[in-house]
Amino acid sequence: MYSVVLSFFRYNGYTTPHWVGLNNYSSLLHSPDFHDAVINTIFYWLVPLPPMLAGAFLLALAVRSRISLLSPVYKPLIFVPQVMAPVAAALVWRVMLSNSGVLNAALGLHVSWLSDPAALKWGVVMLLVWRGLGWYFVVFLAGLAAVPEDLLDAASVDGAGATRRLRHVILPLMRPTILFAVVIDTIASLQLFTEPNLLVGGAGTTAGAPPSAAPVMNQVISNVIGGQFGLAAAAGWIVFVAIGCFSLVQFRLFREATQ
Amino acid sequence: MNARELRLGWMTARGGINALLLAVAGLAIYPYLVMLFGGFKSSAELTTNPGGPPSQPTLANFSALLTGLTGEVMWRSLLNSLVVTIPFTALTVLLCAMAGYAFAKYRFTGRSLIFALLIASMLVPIEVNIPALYLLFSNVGWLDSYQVQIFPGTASVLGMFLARQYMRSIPDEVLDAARVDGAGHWTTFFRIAMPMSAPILGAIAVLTFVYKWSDYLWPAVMVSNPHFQPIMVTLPALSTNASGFIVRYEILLAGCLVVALPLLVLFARFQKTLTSATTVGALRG
Repeated sequence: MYSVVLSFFRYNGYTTPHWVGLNNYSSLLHSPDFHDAVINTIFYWLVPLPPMLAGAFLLALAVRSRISLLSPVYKPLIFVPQVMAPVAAALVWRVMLSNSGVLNAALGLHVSWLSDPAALKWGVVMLLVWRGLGWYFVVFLAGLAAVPEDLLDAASVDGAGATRRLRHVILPLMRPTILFAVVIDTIASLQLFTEPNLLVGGAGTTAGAPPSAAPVMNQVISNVIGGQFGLAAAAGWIVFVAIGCFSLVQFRLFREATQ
Repeated sequence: MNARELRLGWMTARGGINALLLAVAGLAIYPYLVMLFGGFKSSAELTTNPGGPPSQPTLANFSALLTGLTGEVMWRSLLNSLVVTIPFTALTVLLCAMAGYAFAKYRFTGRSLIFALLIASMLVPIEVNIPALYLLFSNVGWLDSYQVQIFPGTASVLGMFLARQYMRSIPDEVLDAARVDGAGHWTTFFRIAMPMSAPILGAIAVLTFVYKWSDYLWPAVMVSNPHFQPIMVTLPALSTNASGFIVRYEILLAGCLVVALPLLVLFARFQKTLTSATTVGALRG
């Protein structure tokens, strides 16, 4: 709650705080860097989400079905990227995305993933999908395990093919799990900080992603480091309100889905 | 289409799906291989052979990383990581057990209201409060210290929730029997409730350790003195120095390997705990 109060003041940490009303908010809303940061955060949230969730869901379906030959192997293998610390993951991907890195070499490309902000954003997406996929895969596996086997058998006895079983039995039962995954992904995405910043180099909180690829959390952190606590609190508060709104909408959907 | 063709089509589809699954699993572990191979390559080889196994494996990167001036920073920050992570984990488990026990086994005014507020607070991420917390810890002189890394965040609501769910299944009769035998509240808690909840407390410990070991944002903001910085903050700084940006990718990979190993060992040992925790809401770090 202190951060709400803080967001209405200009305060550098040691002199007397000045009441500035909504100035912190309006200067953020008029700052091009803040605009970019909001757009980038939405990009990092909405672009990896469909491939990651759909991919994880299809993988979980395949592994649960009788088609897959080596099912027990996949869970640890696909989950293991999640075990790598975000810092280490970002650094390994930095090397992989470098000019002479493995991605350019394998695909025969000459993309400057790390110095071209537009390419960098796609690099961040790749990193996020790589690290996140296994997490959602395991969530969906658990969700699928809760779908009663006899319900599926009953549906096949009634003549429902694989597609109809998926649409009319599995998907309705999985809706709460899918929405849970979306909520968690939203909360995590809006707080994104480590991945984009450590992919580019620099260290600590001083360097990192250029403004045209930086997430909103950078506005919070750079203002803390720069001693602009009022601005930082305002930026943090905007992130929080965004998380709150999205969560509320999603929880409403969640409740409808479970009823 | 006769039966044979149908069967052939089914087998092709099945083969395709299995190949796809294997490909995804391969892509998932490939960056680990890049890290493992790269840590043993020379700078020249990493440029010409970025993805394959090293043709002339060398330990030079590890000696560059772990000896000399860089070595001093690395060992210091590895030690810092342990000094911070172990008490943080122990404290988290203890607080989660105590709060979980209170919510599970005691009736007090406002119990459900406090519980609901705590659960709601999970939606407010600590990151959003960083400006206020930075000022708070700056005022009490905790910036650049171990305590700012050890104490904040130990009162984990998720851990408390997990402990509570588990402890609710401890029969009241067992606790009553202990009290009849003359055990006080604390004795009952430490001698009966905690040992009986060992599985969930162990799971909380593993999850907390992994989360804290990997944490970057909190120490990056709160600790600027290298003396107290954990490995996650010093490792990215390896590629920069006073004279500008010098990126020694092969050393960076060797460093990643060093910090990834403890977590891989934990994962190998506690695979089920770590994967099943995702389903209850999980600490995503």
